[in-house]
Amino acid sequence: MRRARPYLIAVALIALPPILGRVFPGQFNDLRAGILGFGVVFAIGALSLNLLMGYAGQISLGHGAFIGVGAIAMGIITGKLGLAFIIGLPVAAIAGAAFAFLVGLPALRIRGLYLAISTVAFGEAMARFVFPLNAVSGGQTGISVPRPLVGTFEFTRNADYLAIMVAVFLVVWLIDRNIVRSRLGRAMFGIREDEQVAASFGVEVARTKLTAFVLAGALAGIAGALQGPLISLAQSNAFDFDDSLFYVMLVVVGGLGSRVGITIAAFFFAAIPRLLVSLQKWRDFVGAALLVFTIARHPGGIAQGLREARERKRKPAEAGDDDGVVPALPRVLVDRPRTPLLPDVPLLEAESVSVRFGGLQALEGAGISVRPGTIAGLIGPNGAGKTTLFNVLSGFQRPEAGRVRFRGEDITSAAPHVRAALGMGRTFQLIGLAHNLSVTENFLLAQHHLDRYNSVQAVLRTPTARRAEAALLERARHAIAALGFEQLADEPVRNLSGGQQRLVELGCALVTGPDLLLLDEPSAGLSPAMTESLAERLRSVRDELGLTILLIEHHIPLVAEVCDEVTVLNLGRPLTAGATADVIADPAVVAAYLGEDAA
Amino acid sequence: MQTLVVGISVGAIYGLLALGIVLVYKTTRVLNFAQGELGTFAVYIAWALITKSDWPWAAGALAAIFAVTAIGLAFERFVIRPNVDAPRLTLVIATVGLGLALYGLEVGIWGLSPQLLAPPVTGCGLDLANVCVPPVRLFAMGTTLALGLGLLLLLKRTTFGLGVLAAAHDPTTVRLMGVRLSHISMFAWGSAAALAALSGLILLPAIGTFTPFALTLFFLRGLAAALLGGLTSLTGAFIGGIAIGVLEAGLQNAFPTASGIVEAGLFGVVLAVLLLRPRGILGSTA
Repeated sequence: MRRARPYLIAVALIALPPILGRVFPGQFNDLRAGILGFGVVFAIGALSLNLLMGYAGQISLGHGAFIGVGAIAMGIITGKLGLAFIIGLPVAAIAGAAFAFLVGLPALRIRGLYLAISTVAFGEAMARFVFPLNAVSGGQTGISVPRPLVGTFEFTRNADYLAIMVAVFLVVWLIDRNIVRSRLGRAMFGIREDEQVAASFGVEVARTKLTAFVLAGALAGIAGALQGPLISLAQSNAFDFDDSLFYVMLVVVGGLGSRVGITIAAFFFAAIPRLLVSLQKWRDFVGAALLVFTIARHPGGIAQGLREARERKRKPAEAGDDDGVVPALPRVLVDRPRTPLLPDVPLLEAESVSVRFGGLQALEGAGISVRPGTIAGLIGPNGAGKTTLFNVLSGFQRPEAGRVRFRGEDITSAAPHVRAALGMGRTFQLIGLAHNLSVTENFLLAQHHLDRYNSVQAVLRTPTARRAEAALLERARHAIAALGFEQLADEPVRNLSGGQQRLVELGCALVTGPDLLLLDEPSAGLSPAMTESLAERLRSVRDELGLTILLIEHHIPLVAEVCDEVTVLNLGRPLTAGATADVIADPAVVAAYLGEDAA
Repeated sequence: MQTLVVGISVGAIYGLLALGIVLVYKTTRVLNFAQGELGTFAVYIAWALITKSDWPWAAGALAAIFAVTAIGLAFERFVIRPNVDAPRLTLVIATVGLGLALYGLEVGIWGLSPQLLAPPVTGCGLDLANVCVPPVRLFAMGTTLALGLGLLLLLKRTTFGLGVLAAAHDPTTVRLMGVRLSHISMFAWGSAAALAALSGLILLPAIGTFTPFALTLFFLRGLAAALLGGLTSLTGAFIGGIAIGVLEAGLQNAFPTASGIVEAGLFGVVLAVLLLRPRGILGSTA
């Protein structure tokens, strides 16, 4: 019974408009059903824009064009070619997706504000040049679009056609929900939060962005395809810049990332001008004023209002203090095909690496070699190039010269997410987590390259996808329990203390069962007591999991205590390398740290 | 040659639009999508005063410029300044909201039907290569040049001006120099709004009737011009405006029947600049 409930609700929602239209023809007349129809179009269009802006953090100010593509595709299929509505709908979705793919391609190189500019230019070019072409839309007159026809029944009444629209809307809603709960949705959130962190968790940044564009384009195409039959017309001049801005307004006022808030905003703005005729000409002003007000005073939109009303009683979890010791770090072994490690072949090796930033030679002929099962340190005074070398090792910086090898394989040109999948985990000096996502969501995101399933499976939430999600959640719970953070599991990471965030970050790096852990200043933000116990914890995960660790560290006592071998950089060049005790005592190293005179 | 003359005279106005965009971007790192609609709104105010209340042209135009400058200042004070720490894209969307709000006001107060504001002077100001350059256009070019030079002098020769230039780069130093960031932000938004009003008042009467959203349709041209100049260069914005004007005239000359060909061309320019030279053709590396 409980499982059947969502289906019953769906059927009821779909059947409701035709029934109402027949039982109360006076109240539920064509005008009012049509208003709801516009609400559906606005809602689907806004949800599609939300996929880009709210989830993936990619702004589009030319979204009206994608909707226009769908409307005109539907017009051509059903109006000009006389084919069925049921063919027009997927064609419109595919057409929208195809255009979005083309717009998404430059987005791989263009970011933020510049991406916004390019989408404006795209929207204008479509609205003023492509859509008005005679061959595309019949020029000024537009294409007349028929209502769907099933057998001999034509959906001429708005109340009847609304049933189809509601059915499509429910499918879109479901797709959106599936995406949010999948690895695809998490990848989008990760990109929105921090592209580098997402990549270090194994997210294919470029591919995820393109997927977001394609999915948004498909949904926008569907919104356009539904609109044509509603007004019986697909017109070239209906999808320009102000249309795009209207959808941006719906998404922001509804609340970025919130399905419910956005849907409410869509129906509100569909209904207002028709129900209160005196307000009709003020629709744009009311919307815009709400948009500015939302941003200036209430950035979460309608969704935030709803959430606050719901959560007023719940008090936030306590942040806790940082005086404790580091708890046992999660130990996770993940089954992954691995070549056995040979003790005398370095697990990670870099040689003669050179990097130049403009006129600054950050690294010249630097290198490092890390033997399996050891804890290695990379030290050097400020400006020595430690972090640059680290970025070369983890794939964020392409070196001009030199090689990087992992398990003997050349990975010099491998992208960060590829290295993550090979078994290299990393942490960042400034906590590398998605700060607006919860602890659990971070642990799920961190496992992005494990239990993979593709975007189609994500959208449909197939049994494979469900099984994979269950496995990921199981591992995340295990890791959170190991840290003793069960009560913080649903808390956004930004609410945690600095020390707690560091532990979550370490946990995220370990939850995928990496072979090599790259730690960038792990003691930064930890209290002295925690730093001391960190050394012990690192040694024990190494011993129990056979993990290899490389850390950059400023705090020399930690290095002395935990590292087996140390490599020293100075001014971008290798200074020395060897057993920790020898290196730390080396006069050249002391001189590099303290200046020549002190040596 | 004709193309060149037409292009330059129109391009000067795009340069004015671009100047406002660059000024705001340079100081507050916000791209002002309301720049076009501020100009349309000014034209509506001037039109209402001049044709309905029988004000003299100059008085109506001045009042419109003051009113729109006040709107720009109010937006800065109540939306931008309280949210200086918000993500830039959020503020950009707020400017989208401002543009839509002005559009909504125009629709609500004056309706959607086209209106006509005759330029104060008609006839040929200058006959160049058989192209009649109306006095308004000449005035536009003159104003753009004068304003551009004036702004440059103000920015490069005064402490306040240097503060304006450095504001986005190094806010702390600017404050230590004794320039208040809020004054800089006010200056940028106020003068950008005034520039928007000016470009609207010059451009829209010259092309005939106008409707709500009229100048926003030219916004993309101003934006492309600013982008060509690298978004932060004032001279670049002006030269970019001329380049866009010439490109527009050239495209219209080559394809007289294709509507929207200019927008298609602009899309190409914007994409090429963004992909190949994000710093702009004239932008400096800094």
